[in-house]
Amino acid sequence: MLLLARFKIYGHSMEPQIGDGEEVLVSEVPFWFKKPQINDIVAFVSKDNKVLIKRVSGVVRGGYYVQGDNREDSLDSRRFGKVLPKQIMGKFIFKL
Amino acid sequence: MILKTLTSLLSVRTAYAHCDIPCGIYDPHMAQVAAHTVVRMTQLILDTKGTDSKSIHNVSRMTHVKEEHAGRIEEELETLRNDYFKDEHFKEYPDLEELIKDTIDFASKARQNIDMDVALKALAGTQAIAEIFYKTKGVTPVRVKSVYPTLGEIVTYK
Repeated sequence: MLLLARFKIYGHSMEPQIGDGEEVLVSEVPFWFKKPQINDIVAFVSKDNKVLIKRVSGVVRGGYYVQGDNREDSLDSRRFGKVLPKQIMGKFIFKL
Repeated sequence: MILKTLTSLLSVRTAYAHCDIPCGIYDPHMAQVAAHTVVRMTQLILDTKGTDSKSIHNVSRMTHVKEEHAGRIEEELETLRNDYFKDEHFKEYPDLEELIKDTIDFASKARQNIDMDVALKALAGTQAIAEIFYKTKGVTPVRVKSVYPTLGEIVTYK
């Protein structure tokens, strides 16, 4: 989790909303008041220790399913399964 | 302006909107081979009549192979569904999604049971999916007799 962080995005899986090379602000603060909901865009730490950014597509027991908006070109829960709450760092606030 | 100043104070970290590696290498052949293996293992298990240790041991091994290959059918079809087939394919072949789902279900049941009927349905499903796959590739699918002991067909293309 983090109060506020600035991330540069690499990859195309969140297009058209977030494109390759764009910068975004992410914060954990919204999740102090409300757990991640379907359609929230979240940053989380993957099992290989990279920060990924995806949209929550499902809330399941013990975690969340996430998917890229660009379904034709996205590595997401369809492959790596659910994301655990402890992996989630924060919510996408806006693009810079 | 204030926001810009504030955000400029934050160091830039990296986040990945990860893509799959677009290798473009997909083939329905593996699912068919796995389905033939499930049929063959089901045949062999059903043909084993003995209750001696050797028969029990053989059935255990064949069951293991049957489960492994039925699981492979599921994995191969999920890869085709998630990574290869696109919206336009599902529009052009409106039964495709249901066909993949049903075939995965048959593979799952063939894994859990000794049931020749569902094993053959899983095989038929992989063949039908292979035909659609080759059509989407712009080649003509053909059914040829396999050289496997199952004596069934395999879908390839010309």
